[in-house]
Amino acid sequence: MSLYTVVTGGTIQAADIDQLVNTLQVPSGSTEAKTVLVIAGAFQTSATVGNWIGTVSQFNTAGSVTLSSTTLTGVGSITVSNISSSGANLNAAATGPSNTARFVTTATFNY
Amino acid sequence: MLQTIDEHAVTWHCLGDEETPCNATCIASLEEVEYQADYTLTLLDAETGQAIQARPDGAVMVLPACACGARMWLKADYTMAYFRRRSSFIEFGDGQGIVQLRTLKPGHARNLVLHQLLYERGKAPIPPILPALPAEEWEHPIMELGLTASLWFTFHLLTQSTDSTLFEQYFVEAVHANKKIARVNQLQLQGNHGNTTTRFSNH
Repeated sequence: MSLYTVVTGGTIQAADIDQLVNTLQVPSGSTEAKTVLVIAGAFQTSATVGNWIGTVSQFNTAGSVTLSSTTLTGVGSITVSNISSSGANLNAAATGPSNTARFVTTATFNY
Repeated sequence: MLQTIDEHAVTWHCLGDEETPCNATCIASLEEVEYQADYTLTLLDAETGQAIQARPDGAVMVLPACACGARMWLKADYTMAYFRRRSSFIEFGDGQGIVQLRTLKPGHARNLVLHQLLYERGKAPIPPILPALPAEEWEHPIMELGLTASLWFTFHLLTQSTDSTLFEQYFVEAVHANKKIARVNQLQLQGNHGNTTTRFSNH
């Protein structure tokens, strides 16, 4: 959903304000998706390639996270942990030493 | 989010993403669901220094991948601090700012129920932080399991009780309050006030 601006001089309606409220405090049934690239130098097999993926929403906690459109290069499968109101942790284990071990995925936070 | 749970299987709706929309309804047996925790936090008693509770930190439950390749992880590391935040609940008000009914969000309630089922099967090392939904409440004639579980966990948080009889009383009152709220909503819509009384807490 894209946001819109209020025309200068126009009346500000409740729906205008709710754009921000619903972005910062995602209601139940909504989702927030982020496509991320995580890249790291892996010094040995099983070295962790991971990062914290933050959400725009900061008040409600997602009940689940879905990963889709995933591409893995030099790493095994991705795991998700520490799902919280500010995001989740995504990790993958390197399959061998690599200067460019990485993964690309779309993380969808389901509220 | 999970859609349904029973003692043998779970179902969920896979949305995929913007590039590869999916919309499949997926089903998996409980044997296919995995519990994962990277490390365990041990909580110590402040006075004696003795370990009082071990809690896997950041734990999740992993569902099998959908045919489209998407995979879902469910939150399984709930804490009492989490439940003390009002943002964990859906609140139903009377339109005048008075909360008439508060229930734990059904998605989180279903996660707790699934966690309990995995624990009972030896697939999770510790039980969820709130007590299990009593067996007799699993097939309630009025409510879907997620909503029944929401009311059960909220009832326990409010009363610290696991008494099924008291819960039934609470359940009836909650359903009554819900009907009343629905009626207020209807009247408001008929009156074209433009407001609904359902809101999501931001506290």
